[in-house]
Amino acid sequence: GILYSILYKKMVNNIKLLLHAEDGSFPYLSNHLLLTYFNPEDELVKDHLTIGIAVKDTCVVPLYNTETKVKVLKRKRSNNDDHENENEKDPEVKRQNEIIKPSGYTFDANPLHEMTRLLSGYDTMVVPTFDLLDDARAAIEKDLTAKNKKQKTINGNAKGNNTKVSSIIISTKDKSSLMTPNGVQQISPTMYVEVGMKLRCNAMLSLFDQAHQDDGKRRRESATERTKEWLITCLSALKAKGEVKEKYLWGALSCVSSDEVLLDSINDLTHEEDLLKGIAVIGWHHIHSRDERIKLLKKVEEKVSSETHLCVLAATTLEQFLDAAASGVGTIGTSLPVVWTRSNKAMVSGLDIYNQSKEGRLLGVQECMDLLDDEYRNDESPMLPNCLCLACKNGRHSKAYIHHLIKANELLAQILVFGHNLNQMLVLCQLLSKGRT
Amino acid sequence: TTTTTTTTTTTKIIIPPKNTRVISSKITKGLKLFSSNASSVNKQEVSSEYSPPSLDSPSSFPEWAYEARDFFRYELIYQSEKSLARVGRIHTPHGIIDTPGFVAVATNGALKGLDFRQADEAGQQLVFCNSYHLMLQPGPEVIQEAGGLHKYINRPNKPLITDSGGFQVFSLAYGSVKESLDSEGELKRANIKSRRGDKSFMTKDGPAVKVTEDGVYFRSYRDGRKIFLTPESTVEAQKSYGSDIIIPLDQLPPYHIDRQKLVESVDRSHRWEARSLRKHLEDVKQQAMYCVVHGGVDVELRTESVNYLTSLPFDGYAIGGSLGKNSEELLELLDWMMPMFEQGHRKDKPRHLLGIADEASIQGALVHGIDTFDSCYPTRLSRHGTLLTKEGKMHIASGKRHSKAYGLPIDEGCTCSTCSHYDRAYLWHLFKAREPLFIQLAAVHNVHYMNDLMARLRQDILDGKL
Repeated sequence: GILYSILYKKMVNNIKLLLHAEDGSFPYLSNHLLLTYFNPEDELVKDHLTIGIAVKDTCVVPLYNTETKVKVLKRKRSNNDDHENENEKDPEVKRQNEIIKPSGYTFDANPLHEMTRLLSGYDTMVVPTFDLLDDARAAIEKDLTAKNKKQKTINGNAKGNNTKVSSIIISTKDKSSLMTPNGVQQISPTMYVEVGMKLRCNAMLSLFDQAHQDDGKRRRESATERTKEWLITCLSALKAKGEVKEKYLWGALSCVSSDEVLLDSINDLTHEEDLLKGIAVIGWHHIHSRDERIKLLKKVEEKVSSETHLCVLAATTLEQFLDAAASGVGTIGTSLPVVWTRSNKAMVSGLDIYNQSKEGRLLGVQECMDLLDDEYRNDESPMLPNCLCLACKNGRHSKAYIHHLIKANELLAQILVFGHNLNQMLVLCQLLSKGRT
Repeated sequence: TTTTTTTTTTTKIIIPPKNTRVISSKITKGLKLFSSNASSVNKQEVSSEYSPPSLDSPSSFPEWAYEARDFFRYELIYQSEKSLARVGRIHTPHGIIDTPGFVAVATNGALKGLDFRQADEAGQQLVFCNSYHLMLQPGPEVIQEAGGLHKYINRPNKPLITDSGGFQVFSLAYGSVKESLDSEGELKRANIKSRRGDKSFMTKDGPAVKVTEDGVYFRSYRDGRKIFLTPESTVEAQKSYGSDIIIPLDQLPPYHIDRQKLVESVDRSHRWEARSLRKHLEDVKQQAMYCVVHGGVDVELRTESVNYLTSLPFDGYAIGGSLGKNSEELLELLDWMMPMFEQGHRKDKPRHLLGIADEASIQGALVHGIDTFDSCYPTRLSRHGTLLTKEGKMHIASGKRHSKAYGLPIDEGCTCSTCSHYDRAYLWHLFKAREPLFIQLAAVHNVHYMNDLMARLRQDILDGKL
């Protein structure tokens, strides 16, 4: 277990988990399971969950231009599928098997509930992406894996690797570059607002540019400037639409610039506070030290009014999550439930809020258990007693069974573990919100 | 009775009593097709030096074993007048199986991407768990400590069937069915590395699978350790699992095999199955055991196998072994073989077709009196982006067809939760994005489709259409 001690300066009334739902819906969980275990009418879900929908994942559509030469690709056949050989003689089936390559890509959307069939009732927020730098790093990793990682290294010195990451995101003055499943695509603030509004979510984060803390000063300041300008453009585009109520747009704040530029940005945002739903700090987890992260949030909190909602993108560890909560942030973006699930880890909140002094100390938080560990081979108990998730409720599935599923590489393991992790994170948000008097 | 194959000058063919003209004409047809046109069976005559150990006689089993079980029975509801198709129910300690019925395969004690609750809502009754894989991970002792497979996987109120591992012997040695047909029975080299680089397990004939009279040696694909599977040990493992229906150890030879080896293999399977049955009867534990009929596409051997195995106190019959190189051969095989199961007490027991459950084969086989079909086919299809519909298979990968198919479900009229909530455009997107959610949704639909299909076919039989 890892012990944390956190000082509360401001008791946050309601903490929301902004789940990175990369494809516009809950990962692993079908609507059928959602209705039963994460019903949008449940207090736990209603008060503490927001689903983050990334335009870069959900709104990229192919273009088919009949005038352009298109490549016809045959679908790869599985060697084990004996039955397909016979059916391929059917010209209709053969036609279906051919995949025609698009001539290009653009952004477009339909209402989210139609597109992803997400149940209505969830609180949703459109974002361009959750983190441009993480996307670029993932793309580099993927490229290196494909081209034999031994020949290249990305972990050069601190300056070297981050410059390389940033160079992938070649945003221009007018457009942001997003790493989509179909390669890098550029989107302007106006197009972003148009597409984002079609999704009909409850809120939207303004388009942003992003630099790393270790990038040059000019790069960092230009990222902050562009983010500011694009916020203005997004606001204008929304006003022009005239359909949106107030307090719809979150203002993005790029946090890697110098103190002066940062304070300028915050000031600009506070001028628009009446129009904005809140302020979202982008790339917070890239800040090197914990003290600097907390200091940044403190600066922002001091400048904005007490009614202004704060959001961070993102928290990549439980410690960061708790730090953000303690610093007065109300909406915390994270993909921790998914990350833990992919590492076969189940959250064990064991969160005991005790010995709470006037400053508000939280002690005794145990993070996760690794279900791949053989110590669980014969453990008939559920992951967490009294947990009401789809895996643990009424002792439904034992740790032994989930351990076996992980070892057997069964997808069901991830479904059960994710359901558990998400439930536990929501319970944590609930506990943090209530606090202890 | 003990049967021995004779010398080169005479070939004994066992023909059941001519009860009906239909049966005898089918046997004659089968003889013409397979005896004279046995391109797949080497026409070398059986060696006169071959003298296998004797088979267990039916009288060597206790009398009580032949009595009806109070925990397991087949109930005939309707016998078609047009064909051998029939509608019935199999009663097991953990629930009922409507027949003809589809059996989904949960190899490792889990359906791919599906919680059993979702599968049950999709209409799934009997589920097949593979004993070989469960033996390697997590192991029979873990499952036994958990209170049995029903409790371990948390499916307390529905029946389960486990097999022996016989098919894995085949797949390790010869590859998949397609590979074995393509390679004409050539043994596959195993890529299994042992921990210590021990190559003693590699025989000059090939891979790390060695069949002996006592049992079969495997190499675990998980960690390379040597495992010896016997007819008795496989029954012990299945007793630990507590499944409702268990299957004895058998040997599955490839389609392309010379007759000498096929005879030896069938004889060995008979001896193994008798040993498994004997072990099973030591402690029945409210489990039913099906025999596995072998003989490839050889009329004589198949007939011999049916006659011998149905004379033993098995609770049901599984049709196994090599079933032809394509579905036409399979149906021809069933055409002349299945009438044998209409005689006497054989009629009162369920019949299962092992490893085959594509739509065309189901429709062809059930008119020959097959009650249940198992295959990983629907769940495997879902992983590869193929969805089953009334209009045929749909390959969701086609962007031009499906990327803008807003509001269109996979299959019109399908009531599964996938079709109720999602359209093809989103499924296309999930598939292209390689989202695990696609596998889940596709599996729900495909399992639902198969169970719907079987329900329609049962109704067609009752309506006199089949």
